Amino acid sequence: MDFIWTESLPGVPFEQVRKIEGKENIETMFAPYIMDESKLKGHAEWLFFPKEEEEVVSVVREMKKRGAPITISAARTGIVGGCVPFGGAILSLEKLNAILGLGFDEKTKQWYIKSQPGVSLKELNEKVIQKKFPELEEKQKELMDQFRQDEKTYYYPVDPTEKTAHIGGTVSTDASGARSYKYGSTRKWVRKIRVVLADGEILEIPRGKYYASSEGTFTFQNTKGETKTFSIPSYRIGTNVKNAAGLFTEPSMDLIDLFIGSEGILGVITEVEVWITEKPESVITVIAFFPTEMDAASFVNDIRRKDSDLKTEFLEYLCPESLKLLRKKQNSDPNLVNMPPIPEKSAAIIFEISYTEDNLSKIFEILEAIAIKNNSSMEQTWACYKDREIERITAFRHLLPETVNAIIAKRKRENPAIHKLGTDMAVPKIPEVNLAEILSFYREKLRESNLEHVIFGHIGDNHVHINILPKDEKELEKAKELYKVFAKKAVSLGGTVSAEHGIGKIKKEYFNIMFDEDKRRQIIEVKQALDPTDLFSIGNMVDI
Amino acid sequence: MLQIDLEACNGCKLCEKTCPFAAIIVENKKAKVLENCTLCGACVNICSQYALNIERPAILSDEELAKYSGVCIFAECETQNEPQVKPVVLQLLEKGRMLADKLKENLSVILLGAKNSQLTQTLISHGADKVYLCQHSLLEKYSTDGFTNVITGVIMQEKFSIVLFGATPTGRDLTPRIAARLKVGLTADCTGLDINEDRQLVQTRPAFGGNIMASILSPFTRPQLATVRPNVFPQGIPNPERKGTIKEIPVKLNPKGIRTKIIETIITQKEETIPIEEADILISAGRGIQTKENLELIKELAEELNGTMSCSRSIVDLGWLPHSFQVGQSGKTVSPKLYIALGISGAIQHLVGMSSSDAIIAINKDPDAPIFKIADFGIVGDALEIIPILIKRLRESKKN
Amino acid sequence: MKIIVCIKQVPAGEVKINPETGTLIREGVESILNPFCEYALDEAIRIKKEQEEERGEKVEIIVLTMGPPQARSALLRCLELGSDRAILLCDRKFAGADTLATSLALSEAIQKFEVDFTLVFTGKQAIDGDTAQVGPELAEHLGISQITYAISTTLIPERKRIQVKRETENGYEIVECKLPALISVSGGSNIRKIPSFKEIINARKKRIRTVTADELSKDTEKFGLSGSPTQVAKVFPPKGRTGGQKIESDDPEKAVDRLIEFLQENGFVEKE
Repeated sequence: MDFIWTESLPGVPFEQVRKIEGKENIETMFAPYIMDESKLKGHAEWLFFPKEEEEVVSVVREMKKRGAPITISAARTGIVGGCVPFGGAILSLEKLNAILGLGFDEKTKQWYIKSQPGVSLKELNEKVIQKKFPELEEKQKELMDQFRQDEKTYYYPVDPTEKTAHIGGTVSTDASGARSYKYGSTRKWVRKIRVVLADGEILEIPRGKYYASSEGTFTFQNTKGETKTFSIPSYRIGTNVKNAAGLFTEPSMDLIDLFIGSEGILGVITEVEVWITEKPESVITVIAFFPTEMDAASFVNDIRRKDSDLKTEFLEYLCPESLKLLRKKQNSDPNLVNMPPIPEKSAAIIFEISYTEDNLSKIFEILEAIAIKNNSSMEQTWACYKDREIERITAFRHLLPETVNAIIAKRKRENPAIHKLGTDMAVPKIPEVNLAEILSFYREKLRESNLEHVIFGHIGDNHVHINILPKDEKELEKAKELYKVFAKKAVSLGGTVSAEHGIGKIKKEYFNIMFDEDKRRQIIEVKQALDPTDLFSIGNMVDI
Repeated sequence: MLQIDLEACNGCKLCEKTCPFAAIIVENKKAKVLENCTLCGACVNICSQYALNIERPAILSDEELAKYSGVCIFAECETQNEPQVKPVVLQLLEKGRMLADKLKENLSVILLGAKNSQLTQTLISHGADKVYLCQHSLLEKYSTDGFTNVITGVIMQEKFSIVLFGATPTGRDLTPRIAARLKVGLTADCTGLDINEDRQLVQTRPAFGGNIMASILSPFTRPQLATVRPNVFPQGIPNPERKGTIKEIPVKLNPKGIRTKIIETIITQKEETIPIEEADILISAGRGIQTKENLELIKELAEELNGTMSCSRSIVDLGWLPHSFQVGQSGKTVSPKLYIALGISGAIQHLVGMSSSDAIIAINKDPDAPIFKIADFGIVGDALEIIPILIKRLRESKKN
Repeated sequence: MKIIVCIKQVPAGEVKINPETGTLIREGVESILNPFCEYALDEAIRIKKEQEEERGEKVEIIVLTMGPPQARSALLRCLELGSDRAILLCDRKFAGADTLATSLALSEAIQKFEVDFTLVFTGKQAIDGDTAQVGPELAEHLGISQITYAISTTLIPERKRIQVKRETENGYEIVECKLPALISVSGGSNIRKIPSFKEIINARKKRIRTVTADELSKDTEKFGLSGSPTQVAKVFPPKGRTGGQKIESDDPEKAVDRLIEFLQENGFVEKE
């Protein structure tokens, strides 16, 4: 039997950990901590700010003794209520905010960063790109010199829109962004994690060390000699679906992947190591306009087929309704939109390709041929290759969800019951027809329903968000029903109800469409093995 | 010396028509220069055959430099109603007097116009020792050719060491033309002028949108030219008893020598409102006021405080107010007693236009807005919320 | 018809001075085409489209700049936006030029290579130098009329004239002059055009001609630093003005109370 041994740290006196006590205290003076970006509001009796791993251990031990559940929190940028507490303690990791080291893996010749969980993606990338780590200059002078002597620029390529998200949170939710089309989700980039488990012991998990047995089990042993063996779930999610729902599982899986994307239900991540990669020197970002949604979808399929030549960084979508909304905004506030007049009656694909002066013409020719085949051309594009100009396109892309949120906020002021309904479904990339099929399905149902909506997002991964903007409670109910219809359809095609946002507390209804009772039981069994007293993140993903 | 290439000359007489001093004539189909030529270069510029040339040395010898003396101000006038000297001229006279005194030289003024000779006493009262009066019907309105030709002529004749102009739209059109004709140094938008120990004019000005200050010299050429924005220097107190001399310069101008024609003038600034650069209190609107309709609120507040409305560049770009209301680097520089910035973030290009206001109040939703760095009193909040309350209060207290 | 547009590449955004060394901090500051030059180019392109569509007249737009090798990227942008070809005056001998030496170099290039021009467009001012001098000085060297502060133009080819709407202190005026003329442009859409991928590829096929000082003239002393009558004696950061009190407005009534106090204390409102 292959044991996985956990270690024990002495911990520090519990009184030493900075804490805020009292439900009302927290509600009035620390209100942001009982919510996340979903605006779901919770409550808690305790709020802890540990400064180091040993303080985390102390809190876990103490709360376990008192039977108080722990909700793990950091940047609170999630949108499914994952860090929203309902009783018990909030464990905020924001003080574990140091970048601990730079590393160079001699075997794979790759650079990586070792960090505490409370470091934002923004800070991480700024430091990596500029090769400036004030905290490491002395400690790792030689390695920093070597890093700087490497002529290439590096970066961490996983790019969720919200750059203030913390690296720890992105690991526990397996976050992704537009660039995940080329680079994959966070999972692909995690080299190692350290986790504090429910019994207060610590497990350091490098990738490539612990694999599930041929029977599909893992066996842990703690310092007290207690062992537990549990089975990994046996359900299978296709590999060409971008998925963030449920626990990751595959035959002979690496243990690290069980924790990545587990939404905090299995333990507290106190340290991560992530790979960084070469940043393309020159990229050209293009917005291409198509007469119809189907032309745009067909363009995407054609580009994907040519990807060995093009190596597209990302493929994003703005549907005709999205462009209509943005055009309206452009008429009232042209400076905010800051783009040339948006063409009427079209759909847009936004993509980015890295190039050299030598191959730019060749790339153009390939794209021109594909565009013409799909009733457009490279003349009907806006293209940028300088940083400042590219930022305009990025801002334009983000402006759509921002505009939707602003409209919803306005409607909410008049009718507090209203909120946005945003879907997060994806279907497998193979077979190719899936994209057109799911889009036509969405369209048909939305047309029937007469609800105001936009469709946009990571079309390259067959992952587009539908945002429905209800005008009143009746429409809200209709939208919720429609969401379920969409979820069922996506699942029926082998897809997922959550490609990137996760399940948290508010997507469980849809989770249950994708994961029947049996599948959920398999997840609960893993949870109960590692966290028998339901200490961590109660309410996330599954109800015990 | 004016050089004439007789072969190239085709006797077209354009030079004869253009020379403001009748110093060049066409005789036997060739140009001939007379003794009273001032080397102003008007003819060189108009000649289509490149037959005329004046060599201007890039570096004057000390002997040559010494021949130039005196500070001179170009007296730009208002052309709308009654002839009136522009306030910037009076500000320049105050500064010019200081410079002339330091150099122990004279301060003079060049006054161009058709019927504005009555302004000479104002100029003398504000410090001028001598006024060069150039009157001609074609000088009634500003034209690049007319004014450049005449002023360059007077400069070359009188050999001033320093000539100062207001950095007004006219000044910025005229002065570089003169500088290029005479091939001398020009520094625009000076915020500081002084004389150093070498008796050079030290010209200090902002660059890079106001992020940097530069001190500039024109050591080897004369005259030293500089423009100064209105409201940068203070006006002095006139002494109506002051005495000075007036020299009338006979000017010859031909309509054919003036290549531009004003077809139409459109005034967007209403008669009743003071130009923003002259207002004591400015209530200034920025992007944060959200809609064009909200400008009414700004107007109301301006009324309550006896002030004038102005705005940032965003408002003009959106077409909500004409350019004459714009404060900033590509608008106007103002220095009122009170500047209230509403919904203005305070980009450096805006600050450059109002940072010398006596008192600055700012209201902006963004606590990190740069405007707060220079505001004497700031409120972090929505201007659209605060202004109505303020208006109400002011009206109430007036009733009491 | 030939239209020449003189452009300048400038640092984007805020350039600061290192307070210790007193020199400009150029690190990490991106270079862009000067916004006013873009407006000038916009106008030239508008005239080109108009003349080609309405009168079938062939119009060539040539962009010209004096600058270091990296100014090519600004010229490239002009080619992407619709200019036909470009000239780059690039030589160490041009360095250190003030506006006089710059305008002189530009005028010699125009007279040597494109002397049959109809119009010269320049931007009102460059956002680094802020002098607004090069346009008028160039017009003087070329011996042509100038109209400054232009916000829109109307070409009247039959009468060989151009009419320009220009900004004045209290409004606008319409001015007319004979061609050839130099127009310095003050206004334009501040939402910048984005070229299509096709225009970007086509731009790379257009000609950028590089010209050295010796190619331009035998006497190169009149260019660059040696040809500059103005000299920068000193550069320093501006004196700061510090902020005063700043209050949050969670209670707007209270905030207005304090505001009125401030106005009263400073004599702008009568005390009650």
